[in-house]
Amino acid sequence: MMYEMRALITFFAAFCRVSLSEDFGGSAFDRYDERLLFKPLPDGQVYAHFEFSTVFDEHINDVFWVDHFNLFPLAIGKFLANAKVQEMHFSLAKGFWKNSAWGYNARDAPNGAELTVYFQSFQDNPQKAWRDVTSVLSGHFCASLNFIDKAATVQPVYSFKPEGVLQNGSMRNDLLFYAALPHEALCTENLTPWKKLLPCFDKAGLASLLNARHIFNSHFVSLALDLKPICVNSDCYRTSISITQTISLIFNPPVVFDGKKSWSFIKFFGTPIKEVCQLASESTVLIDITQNDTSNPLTFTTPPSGLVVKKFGEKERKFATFDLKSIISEYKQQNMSKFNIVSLYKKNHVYASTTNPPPVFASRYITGYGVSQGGITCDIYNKLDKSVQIVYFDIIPWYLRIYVHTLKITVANKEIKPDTFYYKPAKDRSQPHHIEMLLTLLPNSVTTIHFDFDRQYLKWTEYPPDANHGVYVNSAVISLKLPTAQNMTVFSETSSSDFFLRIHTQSLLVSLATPDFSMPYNVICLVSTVVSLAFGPIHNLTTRKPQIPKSDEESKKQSLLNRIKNFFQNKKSHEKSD
Amino acid sequence: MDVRVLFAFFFIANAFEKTVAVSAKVERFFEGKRHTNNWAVLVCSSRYWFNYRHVANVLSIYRSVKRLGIPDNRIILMLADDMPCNSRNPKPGTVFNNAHHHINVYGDDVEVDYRGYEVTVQNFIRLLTGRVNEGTPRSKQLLTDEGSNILIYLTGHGGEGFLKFQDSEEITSVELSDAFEQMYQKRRYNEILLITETCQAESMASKLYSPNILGIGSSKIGEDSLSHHGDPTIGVYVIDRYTYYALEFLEKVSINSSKSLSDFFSICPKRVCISTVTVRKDLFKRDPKNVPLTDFFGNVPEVKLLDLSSAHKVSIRNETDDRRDSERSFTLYSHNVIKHKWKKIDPFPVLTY
Repeated sequence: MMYEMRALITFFAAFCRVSLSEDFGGSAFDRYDERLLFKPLPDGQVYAHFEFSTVFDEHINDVFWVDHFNLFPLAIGKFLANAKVQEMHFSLAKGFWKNSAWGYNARDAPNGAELTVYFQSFQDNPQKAWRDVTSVLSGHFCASLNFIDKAATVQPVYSFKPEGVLQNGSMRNDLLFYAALPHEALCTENLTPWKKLLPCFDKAGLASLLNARHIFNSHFVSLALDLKPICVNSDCYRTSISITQTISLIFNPPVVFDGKKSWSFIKFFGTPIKEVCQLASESTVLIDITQNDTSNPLTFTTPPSGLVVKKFGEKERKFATFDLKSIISEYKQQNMSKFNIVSLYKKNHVYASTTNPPPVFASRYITGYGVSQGGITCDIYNKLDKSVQIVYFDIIPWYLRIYVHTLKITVANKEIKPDTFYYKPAKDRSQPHHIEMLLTLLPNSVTTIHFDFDRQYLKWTEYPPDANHGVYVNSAVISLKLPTAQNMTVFSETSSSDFFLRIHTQSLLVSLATPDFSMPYNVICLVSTVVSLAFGPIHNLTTRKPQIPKSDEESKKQSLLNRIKNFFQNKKSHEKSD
Repeated sequence: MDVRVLFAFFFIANAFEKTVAVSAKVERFFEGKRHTNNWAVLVCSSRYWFNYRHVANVLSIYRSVKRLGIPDNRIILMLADDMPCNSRNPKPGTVFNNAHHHINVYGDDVEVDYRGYEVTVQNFIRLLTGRVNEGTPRSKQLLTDEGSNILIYLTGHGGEGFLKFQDSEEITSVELSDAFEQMYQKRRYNEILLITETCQAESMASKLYSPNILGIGSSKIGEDSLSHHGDPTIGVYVIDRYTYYALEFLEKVSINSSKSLSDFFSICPKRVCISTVTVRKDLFKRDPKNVPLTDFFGNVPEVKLLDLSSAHKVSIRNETDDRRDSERSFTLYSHNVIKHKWKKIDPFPVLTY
């Protein structure tokens, strides 16, 4: 109901061209911005990253469901108030983000669903609140998040520290929860409720580009929702709430038509922008042209509104910007209704033989064969000339029994020790294995983490319906601080010298030993056959009287006459008996 | 003269027909609406890509009921596998009703309530009987009452007396009829239209014993229910015959349509369906000829009149609100007394040895 209402209001706002933010009587500090970043990648693909951010001017502890939610999504506001959530990070992704080829995603997400929640300090029962949060989100985003049970949840120790501000800067570990479902699908049914959280829904602005049929036709798609308290001012005795919705996409512009990797809004999204979201304070399209090749430059049919150089530490990045608000209003004056960015290359695309790998990336895989034992190996690459400290975070389901004594961390065949190591063993059906460690990656090295596991038998009703497909294991999460912003995708300028980063490895598919599910059926069939075959002879043997038949010679001796006589006599006797 | 007589005859016949139609309309008006709201439970119980057609079946009905006005929060959609974004689907985000890609039945605005491994017999029975687990979100509950007309559509692989779920378990017709009886005893419905699109579909309705249920099956006991045609671009059969013709029929129905349930019985004659469509009417009290199709496929707009004239004012506040407000003022108060400074912490752990 409220969605319709909001859509209606949005429509009204869009048609009347009146900014409603003041008329609503809400706080003037609420703000909604939308940005879209394009980044041509060295391998010829194009990275598109949408960011919709809303700031709600209300102290995190004071949100109540009766409050007036202005630009902030009501559904999230209510839920935030009821479950006393302070911070939440939720993502759904389809595909694997190839760090080694594409650099770092602005908002990294593993395949499937991932959820991190930090509760407010006066949440008395965080365990119950966590269950409520997963069930509410599962209903809201049409995802099977209700499968997040005790056996899938962990409370991280070193990783996943809250990203927003904390009361007195103190963090309590019992309020932090993490779970991931690597098997979770992502499709239109998840995108629709996600879009409905936006102030203009998908009717106007950048969100109108989000057409399911085009978005899911990409190489990688992830959607995320991040909610955290931020400071109102430098004193920071009060917070406001920031909600950021992001979508990351990797498109592969076809070269088959003219040999050039040219692209446009219509090619990627199937539609141009017709209407700008009037509720947005800022509506910008940024195109990263730092790596623009001078021999084959990227050109635009519409001249950009400006060129911006942003500084991220020592690195500088150049962006061509398109300010949608001014562009669309100009277009309206000239009676043109559609805005399409078309980017063209002068020459044919040449596939680069060398890509520029990011400083740190990882690859994780299953080792061993058969369905009784196996191992997990994670190779972490450090391409920097400095050593880097990382946190390695791994959750293994209880039905893969890992052996910590087999854990080996090697660099160039030399074993090293982690700086610190945390391990919480699994309990059957109620707790996964939880490994966290701090490691120092040596300069220009490959560090290999390896451990062995045994595959556990499940009860036959515990297997999923497609048991032979195997079970998924969460991706490992690596958190680190990089000394350089190389290969990173960030919006806001920073002067700091280190950049916090979180990357996810591949999720794994492990085949378990599956029982013969048709065994009961086979047993019934076989037993029935045996019983029926045995029954006949046994019945005959036990109920009939054995008699020695007359010898053949006697019967042959009977003359024809005698046989006829016999025949009639028999008949007579029959008649009698009737 | 002949012509004049003929004309007069036509005129009279026409007028007579009109009066009959009008009187039927008047009768229907005075009969009064027997139901106050509409719900739909649409279930595809099949997993795996080769069962694409079952997802197309259920989405065809979903599309129709949504178009005819049942809102998403009153449609419980169960899809046992992800076909639209399956990696084998060459056009991600779509499910089509035929090989020529006429209608994308999946649409751009879809909400799936139960999906993947969640589609189990247990969850289906829990949904129907309302005995859901604690903390189940509203979108996964059938919040019907005694004024609800429910359309239940089941598709999958069936046999005599059962329907397979996820290729690993079954619901029997006996279990289904017991669930309906529970619903009846708990006053969870006014009328139910049960449509089954499986092989031997007649058997799913054969064991029902609760009143006001109409059962339609796409095939007789002993008959297979067949698919309509295959799509070489996806390599599998697209849709089943009965639902293909049902969608074709429903596409022409609007919310104001006067089509009755009995019209719906004859959408798929044996000539095109190959299987025999069966209808079980003995539990249903009304004559299907007088039941508009939109009693099940459409939605009753909810209009509630409140008397605000007298001092009797409707308050939207209740006790919980007051309690929350007091809680709130308390937190505000405490928050004002002890001022907390909010700080960011280092996202990377700092070790203290």
